[in-house]
Amino acid sequence: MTTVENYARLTNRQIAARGLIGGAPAVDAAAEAERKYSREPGFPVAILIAPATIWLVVFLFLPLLSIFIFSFWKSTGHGMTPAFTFENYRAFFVTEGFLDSKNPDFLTPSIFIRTLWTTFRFTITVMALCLILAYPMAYFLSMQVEDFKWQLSLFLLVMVPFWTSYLIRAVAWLPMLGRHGLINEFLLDIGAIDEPVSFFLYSEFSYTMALVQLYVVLAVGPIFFSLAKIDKALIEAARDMGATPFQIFREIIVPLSLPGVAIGMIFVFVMLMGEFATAVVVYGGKTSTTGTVILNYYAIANYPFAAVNAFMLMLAMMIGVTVILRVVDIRKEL
Amino acid sequence: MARSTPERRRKARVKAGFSVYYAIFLIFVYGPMFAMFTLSFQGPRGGVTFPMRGFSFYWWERMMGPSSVGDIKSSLVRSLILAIIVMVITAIFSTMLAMAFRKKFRGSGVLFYAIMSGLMVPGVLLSLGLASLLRVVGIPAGWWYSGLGVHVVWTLPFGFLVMMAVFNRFDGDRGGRARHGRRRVDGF
Repeated sequence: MTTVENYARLTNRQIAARGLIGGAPAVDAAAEAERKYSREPGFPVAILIAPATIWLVVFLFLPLLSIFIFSFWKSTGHGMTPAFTFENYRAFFVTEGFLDSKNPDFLTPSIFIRTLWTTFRFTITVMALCLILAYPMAYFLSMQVEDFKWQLSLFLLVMVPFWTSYLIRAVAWLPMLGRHGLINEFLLDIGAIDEPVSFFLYSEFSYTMALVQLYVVLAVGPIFFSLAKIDKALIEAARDMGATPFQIFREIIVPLSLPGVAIGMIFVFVMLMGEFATAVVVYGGKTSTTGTVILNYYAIANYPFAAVNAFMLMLAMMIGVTVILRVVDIRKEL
Repeated sequence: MARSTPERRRKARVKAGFSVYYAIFLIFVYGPMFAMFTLSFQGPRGGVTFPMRGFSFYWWERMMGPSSVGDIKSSLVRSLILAIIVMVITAIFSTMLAMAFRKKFRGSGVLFYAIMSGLMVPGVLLSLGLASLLRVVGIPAGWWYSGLGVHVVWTLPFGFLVMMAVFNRFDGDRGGRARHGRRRVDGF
């Protein structure tokens, strides 16, 4: 359309608009149409968002805020009283003999810091394994499967376990890994071992394995979506210009899938840091995560100390998520 | 019939390799659950280990009967009722929210992140916060209000994103107004 035509159309619309609203100042018709259609049919925004906002304040914001507040309260042995004390934080960071050079615990980090560190260490290992396993899976589904119907059904088949209870999936490892479990029976049958190995269950091995199985699907989803969004024409163009498959992968596919990787890793990271049930089921409670520490202190009614652990966990999560977002600027990539 | 070039053969091999990987992946993800399911048909003397000692519905019958650990029927019914209430509330909320989010409004960014944080707040934190808060206020926790409240926080982001996508499809031909929201949905 030429500029002249465009101008003519605009003028016509303006005339029409002016005709509708009588002697009022000229209003750009397009802007007015925009305003008219932008109005929600019937409901003001405030009414639409009010119930959900109140719900989120009561069940999301207040609980998290109260964790912070209660972490300064005083434990009374069977409950807590309002106070403003840093005693709980001191107990979290420092053991009794921390500054006493004669004490065997001299300058040793407290058990709670070490637990948080263990939780973090497991989290990083499992995150790495999840990424290694999930990326090829997402790549296969998005790039290798061409038919959309197949793509969708194969993707859903992978994602279904996400909708089952993770407790069920954690418990399901027991018959696999136990002394008389499937893996031991299999290894005995093929003669790889002479007697059942107890190493498989209640060990770092079983814990890591179960966690990877539980959370790998959380990584597959976002990576799949970001890979599927890549314009296939881009890859064609690169190929036509003589790029090798490896170059295409490194220069196009990896950078464009980074936002998906970041989102997937954030999900896995946050879930793993808050993990508490799996350690009990497949690690036999031999080691604790900060999640189990929180629950234990809640169970013995020391709420302020549970709150301190929870707050430190929250802080560690925020730092982790910020780091991931620093590495990949999701907002810029979108 | 397509000609069999080296390039084509290489591609087929890569695809076959990935398919094998897919199969192993599925076994990894589903295997333990199927093993557990099979073991539920153990004979009365068997435990959670292979080989099976007979085949029976003994444990299934035990589950249906009364027990000291927990009554399966009432807990199943309770789960079901909770699920239905959560479903209805989530559906209503996410429809309303998605209608509101068709246009940018004051605080829409904050609200968007608040909804999304439901995906990321671990249960242990939310439960601890709410349980101790209720204790201070003096209300005993119960599945049908505090439990319900937390569950909606967890399900809301899913419903919200789906409804945003649905509304954006409606608005697609009405111009760029919906574009802002749509880009955010794609991101997730």
